[in-house]
Parts: sequence; C-alpha cells; structure tokens
Amino acid sequence: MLPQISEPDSPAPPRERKRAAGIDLGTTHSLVASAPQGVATVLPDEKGRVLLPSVVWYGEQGDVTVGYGALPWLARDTANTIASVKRLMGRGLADLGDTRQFPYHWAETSGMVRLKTRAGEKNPVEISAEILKALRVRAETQLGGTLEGVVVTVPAYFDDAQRQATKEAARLAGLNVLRLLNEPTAAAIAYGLDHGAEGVYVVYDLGGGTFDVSILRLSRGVFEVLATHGDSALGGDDFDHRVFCWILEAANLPPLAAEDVRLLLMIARNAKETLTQHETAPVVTTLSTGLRVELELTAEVFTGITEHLVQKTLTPLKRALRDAKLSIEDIKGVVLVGGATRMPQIRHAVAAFFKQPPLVNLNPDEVVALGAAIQANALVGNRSLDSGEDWLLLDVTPLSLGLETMGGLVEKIVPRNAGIPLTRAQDFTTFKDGQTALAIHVVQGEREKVADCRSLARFELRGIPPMVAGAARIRITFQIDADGLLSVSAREQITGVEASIVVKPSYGLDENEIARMLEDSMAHARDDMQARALVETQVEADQLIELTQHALAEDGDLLNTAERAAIDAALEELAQRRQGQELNALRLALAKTNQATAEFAGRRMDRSVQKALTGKSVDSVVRD
Amino acid sequence: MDRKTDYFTLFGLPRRYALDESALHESWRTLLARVHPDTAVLADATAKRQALEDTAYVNEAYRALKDPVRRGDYLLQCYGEAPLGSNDVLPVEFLSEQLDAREAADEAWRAGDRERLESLQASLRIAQQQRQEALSALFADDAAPSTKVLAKARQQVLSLQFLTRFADDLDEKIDA
Repeated sequence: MLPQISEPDSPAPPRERKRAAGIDLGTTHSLVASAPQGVATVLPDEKGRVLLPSVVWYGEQGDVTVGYGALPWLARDTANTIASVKRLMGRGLADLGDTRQFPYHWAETSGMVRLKTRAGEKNPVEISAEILKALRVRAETQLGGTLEGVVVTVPAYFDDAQRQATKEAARLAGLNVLRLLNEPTAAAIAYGLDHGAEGVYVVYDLGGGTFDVSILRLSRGVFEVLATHGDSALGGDDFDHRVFCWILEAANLPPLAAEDVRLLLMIARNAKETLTQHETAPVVTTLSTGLRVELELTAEVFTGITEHLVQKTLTPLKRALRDAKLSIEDIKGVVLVGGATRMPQIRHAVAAFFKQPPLVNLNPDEVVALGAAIQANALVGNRSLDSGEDWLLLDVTPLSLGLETMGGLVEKIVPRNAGIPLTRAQDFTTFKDGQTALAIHVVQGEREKVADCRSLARFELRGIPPMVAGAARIRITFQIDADGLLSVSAREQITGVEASIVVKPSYGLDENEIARMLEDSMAHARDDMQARALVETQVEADQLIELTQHALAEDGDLLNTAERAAIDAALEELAQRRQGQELNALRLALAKTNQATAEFAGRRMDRSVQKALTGKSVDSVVRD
Repeated sequence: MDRKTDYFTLFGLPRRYALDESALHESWRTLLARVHPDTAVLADATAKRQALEDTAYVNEAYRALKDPVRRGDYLLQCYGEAPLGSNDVLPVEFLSEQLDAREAADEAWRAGDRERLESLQASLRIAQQQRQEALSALFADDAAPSTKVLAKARQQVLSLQFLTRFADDLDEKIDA
C-alpha cells in the first residue's frame, strides 16, 4: 500500500483508543484496573466486587474456580485449593524450607515446585495464570473487546526468577505483557498524578506476603526511583500467623489437621481485620474435632504480639534512606500501600518514624492496580489522546549482581539501586596458561562471598585460543531491561568468541533467603570487607614476593649491597606480615616493598631492552 | 543516538571536573524522555533493542559523571589515560596516614564512640572536598592538560577513591 497523504488543514483522522489494563497480582487478592477515558478505575465483577481473592480451586468435575467461589474450599479441600501462590513463584522445593507448613502434596522435581492436585500436577505459573485469566475475562467483558496489552505489577524486591515466572504466567493467560512494573512505583504514579505531587515521597507497601519500600523523587512529570529496599518474607500473612499462634497457646490446642489450620488462619485474619476498627475481636469457632474455641483478642494484645514484625519494616526504611543519601527531613510525604497498612500499629509506627502522619487518601488495596492501569494506558499510546501531560518513569534494580571470581569472592558488576535499563561490562582474564574455557557464575546478593549469595545461573565460554595466563581479555556484559530482567553475555575480545545467556534459572531466591541474605549482609558487612581485603592483599603479597625473588635471582647483580639489603629487609617484613591477620600492617608492608623495589624494576626494564637489542642489526631493529 | 559520543558532549556539558549537577540531571531526564523503552513498547524488535541500548548508555554516562570518583576516572580516560586499576599505587605517606585513621575508626567503633566516628567522618569530608577542589583546578578548561597535570590528577582521583571508600565504610559504622 502506498503512503497516504491527507488534505492540508483537514483534521487528522481520529485515532482509535486501544484497550489496556493494569493488573495487581497479589498474594491475598488480585485486581484489574483500566483507564478507558483517561481516568483510572478498578473493574468490578458482575456482583460489583473489585477484589478477586487469589485462591484457585481445582474441582471434582475438572472445573477450575477462582476467587470468592474458591474460598469455601480452603478449609474443606486443602490439597486442591491453592492460596498465596505468589509466595511459590520462581521457587524450588529446597527454597521453601519446611514444606509441611503448606497443606499441599508436592511433586518431586528439581526445578520450580509442582503441586499434585486432582487436575494433575500444577506449577505456580499455571496456577497464577488461572487468576490472570479470570481478570482478563473480567476486563474484556467490561471494556467490550480484546486487550491490546497489560501492565502486571510485581514487588520491587522480586528477583529475576520471580519476575520471569510472573511474565510467563501472564503469557500463559493469553495476555500481552507491555511491562512488569514495581508495585511501589505503580502506587507512586497513581498518587502523584492524582495529587500533582512534587518532591521526595516514600511508598511503604506492606502486602499479604511481601514488604517493599521505595523512595521516589516526583518532579515535573518524572517519577524517579532513588532507592528501593524490602523484605520478601514479610507481609500481612505473618500477622495472621502471630494471631494463629496466640490462639493455639491461649486455647491450649493439640496438633491440628490441615483443615483446622486453614480454618484458624482465616479466623485469625478476620480478628486482625476487626481490630482495625474495634478495640476487641471475638475468636470463636468449632474445629473439625468438635472442639470449641471461644476467645477474645484485644488490640493491646495484638499490638504486643506483632511488635517485632512492625519493627522489622523499619530496617529496610533506614537502608533505603541511606542508599538514597537522604534523611527523614527530606521526605515530603509517605504513601501507604497494601491492605496490611490498615493496621493502626503500622500507621503509628510510620508516623513516628517519619515525624509526619502518612498519606492514606487512596484506597491501599487499589492504588497499585490504578497506577498500573495509568501506565498501560500510556504505553499503548492513549496518553496523547487524553491531553494528559507527558510523564516518565525511571526505576532501579533492587539487589546487587555479580560474578564469582578466584577464591570464591563476588565481583559486583551491578550495585543495588542502579537505574534501569542498564548495561555494565567488565573485563576478566584467564587464570592458567593455555586455559581455553571460562566458567561464568552469576550471583545475586549483597555479600562478598559467593557461598553467601544466591546463585542465578552458570554458563561457559569455550573456544578461547590458548594463551598465557592473564593475556585473554574476556568482556562480560550484564544487561537489565525495563522489566528488570537480566541477560548476561561474554566475549573474548581478541578472537571474538562469544557466549550468552538470558538468565532463566529454574527457580529463584527463597524468600527467607533474601531476607536472611540482607540481614547477614548488614551484620557481616564489616567482617566481609575485612576478610575480602585480607585475602586480596595476601594474594598480592604472594605475587610480589615471588616476582621479586625471581628478579633477584636473575638480575641481583644490578644492586649494590645497601640496595640489596633494603629490598631483603622489606621482603622479610612482607613475608612475616603475610602470615598474620593484620590487614593494615600487611598493606603498609606491601607499599614499602613496592617502593623499595621500584628503582630495581626500572633498571631491570632497561637491561631487558638492552638484551632485546643485542645481536640485532640497527636495520632490523628499525624495520621491526 | 551515537553511543560513541563522549559523556560530556552527550549531556551538553563542558569537559571539566567541576559539575553543574542540576544541569546534568535535567539533561539526563530530557534524553531519557526521548529514548526510554516506554516510548517503544509497540514498536518492532529493532526499535525496542535500540531504545534499551540507548537508555542503558545514557544511564551509564549519567552514573559516570555524577559520581566524583568516576568523573575523575572518566576525564583521565578522555585524555588517553588508562582507567584506574589495581596497578595504581598510592604514596606510602598517604597510605600510612590513612591506615592510622582506619585503625582509629576501628577502635572508636569497637568502643561505640559515635562522636569520634562522626569527627573522623567530618575530617574525611574535608579531605574529599580538597581533592575535588584540586581536580576542579586541574581540569578547569577544555584545553588538553599536560602529562604532568594528568599524573597529578591521577593521584588526586586515586586518593579521592580511597577516601570515599573509607567514608562509605564509616557511614555503615555510624548507622550500625
């Protein structure tokens, strides 16, 4: 077809608005929102309910029920009714720790977990896809046609495996994923655009199973994430669990059947929710054994038994502030996101920490989906139709990424909180003479030693031509795209041999492990740095000693007695310090030896040039 | 976008050490608004790839210029110098002085002497400031500096790097 040219001054043909939606795939419940007229609204089901419980029931007739219809089966058909599947995304069995805490039947597998249900084995991606399908049908019914694309939100603290799994689930549900968007960032868009906010804001997002905190600068239509931190093993579920434990203790209950565990957890959640509005909550139910539970939970007791959970959210806040190089005085407002932030003790703690009351004028359950809908609308190109101002979203990567190097140490390539998309390259070289392959091990985490970080992927670069150790130049490039997904490539610079991998591990970081890794990282940061520096300096010392001894044996005649004595003394001190654990003393000895041998090295260089020239005619030297 | 453009030209800034941070930030935003992958969601694979790579390039350039140590390192490379590396050696006098300071910091930390840590931090800030001022003077205009100036600048960047690492370490200690 030939290009069409319109008549001068005639109005451009009206552009058709595209259907787009934002999806908040939550641990406890999920939502879909859209901005059909440029203003975002959450889409209700046929009964007017906007929340879809994230619960999937595989029924007896081969049917699949999602949401409210699945809820009654939670305590009746535990093995076939899956709740909080988000906690399993991108996880392997080994990551889950004690699998008995879940009422499911697990299939043996080395990859992502699989659950045995009456509908066959199901993995978390497939189960999540059922939730997404239900939301897709809702959106397409409401909007009157097929969706052009969706933005799906993920916790900012989700790692690569969890993000990949989420994207996969959306594809499986027949959705075109325009972008994965971090939940706190989505909330900031909804809040910022709605209130014309300018300045630095904190988003405190406590969901059903994850905690995220992001600090953003909002300025003339740009949402710039300055830092993000979190705890992917902390959420409203943990508060339920505290109440559950309190019930066990207060009612002095014997070990329970899976159905009764589920039942009491639901009772516990109801009590927690009641305490948002009331001073006391009844805890009354009858177990499958006929045992009757009749208790009353007071707000005071509830606050007491969950105090440490509230405190746990403050540590990531402090770290995010430090990474952003900001103090509490710089924060203009704190936006609360996630149903769990309705708890009064959370609001009090946040207010006390920031010395200002948090902003609660948007529904904390809906704000993430609304933000996702606004971005989806913009990404499909509807924004210009809404005469809305242009805005831009600049996000960061939550965890550091690196490679394993000699000695089991991590060489960090991408620091946490670096702006994405990004490309970072670093050159590495071979360790042995004639080495033709390089094993590349990609890790994620804040610690200095590989053993303390999470392994993301391993691959090999083969076909490096044999060279002496240290001669090859292997450039390893990390790339993170706008969805926060990582790919790694390696290239030998001299020969152009290449290898690359899209990091797709079979499962990702265990949520406890991320939390533990961060705790450890902070607690051990000092030890780690010391240990690392010591190992590195010792290697350096060994090299220098060996090199100098070799040089003395070969060219010792270049030195007079006094010079020789000075070098010997420096070497002796260095060798002695090398055996000790005193880093600073070793560093100083190393510096002294370097200085003592500088002149000697220069003379050796002159001699080797002389040698190279000897025996060659001037002609050939010039021609060379 | 030509991804070979030097970072100063990319952001329309003079090739100097002294930095107008708000101009850099402004220019960074303007560039990203043009090339960010969000502008190419419905485009073909080639355009998407280009958006990704352009944005990554702009982000890398921003990081290099914003950070005082990286900016010094980058300026040296602009004038044909090798990047800072493990072969660089600091003068023994400086090292020895710094090692003493580190020991003092370790001691204060073990003793839980926050005041002492903060006073060490304050003198570190002054030392960093001095290095930055020296670098601003060494790279004050667009003229190519002499070998001697480059060698001086290299020492300043190296010691600034050393001081910055120490300061970061102290930050952790003070917060802990």
